[in-house]
Amino acid sequence: MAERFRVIGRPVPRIDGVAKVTGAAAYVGDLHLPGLQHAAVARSAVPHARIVSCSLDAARAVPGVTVVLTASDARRHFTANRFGPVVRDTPVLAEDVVRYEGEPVALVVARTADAARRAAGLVDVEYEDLPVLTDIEAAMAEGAPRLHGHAEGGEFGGAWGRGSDPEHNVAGQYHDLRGDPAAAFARVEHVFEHTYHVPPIQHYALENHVVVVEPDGPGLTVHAANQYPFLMARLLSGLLGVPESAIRVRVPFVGGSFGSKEYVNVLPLAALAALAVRAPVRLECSMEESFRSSSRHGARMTFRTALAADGRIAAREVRLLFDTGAYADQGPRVVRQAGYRSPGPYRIPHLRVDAWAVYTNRVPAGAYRGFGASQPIMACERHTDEIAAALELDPVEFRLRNLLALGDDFVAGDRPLDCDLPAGLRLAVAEMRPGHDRPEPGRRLHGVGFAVGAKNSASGRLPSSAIVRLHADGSATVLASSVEIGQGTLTMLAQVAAEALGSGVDRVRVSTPDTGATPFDQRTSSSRSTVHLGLAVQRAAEDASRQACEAAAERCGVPAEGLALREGIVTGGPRPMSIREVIDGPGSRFGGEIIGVGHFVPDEPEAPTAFGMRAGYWEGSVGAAAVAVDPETGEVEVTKLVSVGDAGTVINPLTAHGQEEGGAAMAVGHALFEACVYEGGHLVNPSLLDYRLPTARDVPAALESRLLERGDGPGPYGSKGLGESAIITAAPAIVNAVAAAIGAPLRELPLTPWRVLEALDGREHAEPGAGRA
Amino acid sequence: MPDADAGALATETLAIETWVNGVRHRLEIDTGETLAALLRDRLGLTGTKVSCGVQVCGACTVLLDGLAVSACSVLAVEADGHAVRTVEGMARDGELAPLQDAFIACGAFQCGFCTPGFLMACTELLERHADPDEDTIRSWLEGNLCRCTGYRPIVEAVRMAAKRRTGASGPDGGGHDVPATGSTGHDVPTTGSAGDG
Ligand code: FES
Ligand code: FES
Repeated sequence: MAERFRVIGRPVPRIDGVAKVTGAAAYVGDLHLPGLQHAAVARSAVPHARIVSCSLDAARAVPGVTVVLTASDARRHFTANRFGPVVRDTPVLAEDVVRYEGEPVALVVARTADAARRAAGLVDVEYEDLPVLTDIEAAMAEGAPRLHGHAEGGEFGGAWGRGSDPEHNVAGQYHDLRGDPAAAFARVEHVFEHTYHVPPIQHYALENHVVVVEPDGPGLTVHAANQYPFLMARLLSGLLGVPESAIRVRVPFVGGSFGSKEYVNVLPLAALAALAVRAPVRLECSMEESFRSSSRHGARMTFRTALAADGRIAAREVRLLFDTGAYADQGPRVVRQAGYRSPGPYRIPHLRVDAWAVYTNRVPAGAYRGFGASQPIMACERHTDEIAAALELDPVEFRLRNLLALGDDFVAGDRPLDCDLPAGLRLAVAEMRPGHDRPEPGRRLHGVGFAVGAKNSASGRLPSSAIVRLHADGSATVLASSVEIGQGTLTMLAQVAAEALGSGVDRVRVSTPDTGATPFDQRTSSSRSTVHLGLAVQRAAEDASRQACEAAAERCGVPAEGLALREGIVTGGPRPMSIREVIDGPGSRFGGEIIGVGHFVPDEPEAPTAFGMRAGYWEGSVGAAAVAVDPETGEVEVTKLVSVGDAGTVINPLTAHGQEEGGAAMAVGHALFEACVYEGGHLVNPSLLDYRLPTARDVPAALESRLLERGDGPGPYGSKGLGESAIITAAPAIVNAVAAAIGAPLRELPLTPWRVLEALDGREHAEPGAGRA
Repeated sequence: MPDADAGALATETLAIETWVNGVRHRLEIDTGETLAALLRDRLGLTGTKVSCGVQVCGACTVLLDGLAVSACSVLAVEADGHAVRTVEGMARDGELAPLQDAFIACGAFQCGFCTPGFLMACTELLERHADPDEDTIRSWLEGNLCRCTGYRPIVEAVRMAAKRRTGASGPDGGGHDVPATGSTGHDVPTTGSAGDG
């Protein structure tokens, strides 16, 4: 594959490499501005209560404090004390009710961070407790206390918000009915039904939420660690009632996100602080506060499947309940995606799906790497293994019998599957063969597990623009707005531009987002930057290159066909002509540089499906895991973890495999130990002292990524996106491997030693307070 | 939740003398000030990062007289009379240290927020073990969390740097341990051939 290209497909070292290994890479928290003040948030200590009174005197008396703000200040400085991506149900600062422990109640601004934090701790709120909703089913029941009234649509609004039903504490929902599942269930002999639970979990990006806001004319300049710079500019322009051009959102390097830094409250809070003191303000959360800002949905998922005598799926019913916490956040979007993907990439003639995102008094749940795919794939792939086990079928064979092939419709009207899952599964099986499924002597139990998934990535209307400035010396500056959260987007875009310009990657610089200067990009999410922004950059670079060739052709009086730009020189004409001569030579029409422009607009954003949006491409994924389980302690060791992705064309193997391996490693935590544990609405483990992440010891040395390449992706040079594929199947593969090792079903995560022992004993699941959704 | 006591301890000031990356500093500090705050806020050495704040993640790792410590939890006074090394001190005259080169070659970071801490922890490791094996490296790194990479490339980078140091003048000259087509352990032909599978 690589031979066709100069730099595409090469393991080009990251262009942010030197900055990141020398400590020079600047993150928002490293920014120092003259006159900077510091904000700290006073947060609710209770999960659901009416605010009886709020005394700010002690906080105001702390030396160094400049102002203490509450909801009334938010109303004064903003057009409304409300925001929210799908529905505007979230106050910037709590009005008369708090709905989760940790909700912002007051905001302190002070000359030092210490003074601000201390004063925030002295804000004295008197609460009158209200009933706490912790169970999703109870929250949906008739007569349950209602957490919200109707709210208007937010930045995403539209179709996403249509399922809002506050009377039943429903933030969003998704339903689909294909064929006649009821009749199909009545016809078959084998019916299987299982219910699975996954707990809420935390992103734990190492960089905590942080934002610096400077007053700037009628608007603001915002330095944010955020995946949505343009949506944030739109949000703030609405809150301030100023034109979008008055808000400038800049995003330097981001210290990890995984979906946590999308639609977050720290932006409006810091904006409010800066407006109130008319000075630059930094708001930096502690890790505990980050735990209380967002999470991945805990879920309860029931799968029911009718199986024909030949081992083919005849019908399936899926019921998903997602705990979206106290505010809708992106829950309505997550649950629609989850519902759409939940049946799995299998041939299913009759289908019914019902999915709800339900309000409870917990930390709001929103986007998380694998957006709405991780939870249903976990349930679907466990269910698949359980059916195979019951019928004594080989789980791989059973999958192959039912899997959709390359080019099949997932649903008629959506983009046909452009990933080869059967090939991926066969490759994963081959990878697991050498030795890893053979038990070593000893008391540990060994098992191998597989999981398959497909995520409709980059769906819907997600436009991108890019500008390539070709300088007189042949080097280039790419203006684009993809957020470097670690995925290697800057390097990828540099390679795409360099390929199109015929130059080396070292001659290309790529901007970070600055909504006041760099062109529009819908957002950095859904593994879309390579495909959408990559195409825009490729087109912009080709535009610049074409302009150079045309100008050179004109100068020499020859047709432009056959001319090409290579290393800053237009070749193929009567004589080679340097870019400098093209730009600065006599009669040049260029103003000192050549400006190439490129756009990406999806041709068919809509689809006639229950989901309604057409996939940009399918992120196909196969996970395989080998585990060893200690039957006495219940401890699980993952001994090998393989992910097989489907990349179209790999632009950079170094960063592409890095994404895959990193995603698989993250899933080790999701499978084995991560859970946000609640007791009566109180999050009891909001810190790394009690929330365990995978270490170098937990992730196997045999961590391997394989990428299928057919060069058939919709992105530049036949590429597809990456970044979420490994994570969606690695966790179910691990859980399937453990179930295979112990010969018992596992239906609740994480697989703590306690749960494993209990499953081994065949006892009923009833671990107290273990973050059950 | 903001801590009501945060900063309440910082009442007294004290004069200290410390050497940071070989440079002597005489400073008036608050007794409650952490080493991380001293480095980041006073000396502008923002390479050292703070994440968990509770001595678990290792993002804030610096070397105090050659020993790895968590700068988020060590008080600045403890640097009095001692030498501190941070990520900013690794490169000499613009030349990256072998470990830094190896981190880039192996793709041992993504977001980079954990990287300064890992580099300092690995520096101490390599000063103690000339050629650590996989197990030694993984045990050593248990106090440093990376949410992005899955650790394999970090382990590989440590081994590469160790080989370069011990074998730099040997017949192999460190050339063969640099993967020719990438540091993911999967070269391009493997990636490509997977497409035929
Ligand atoms: S920030 Fe110091 S150990 Fe995590
Ligand atoms: S590179 Fe992001 S946490 Fe390690």
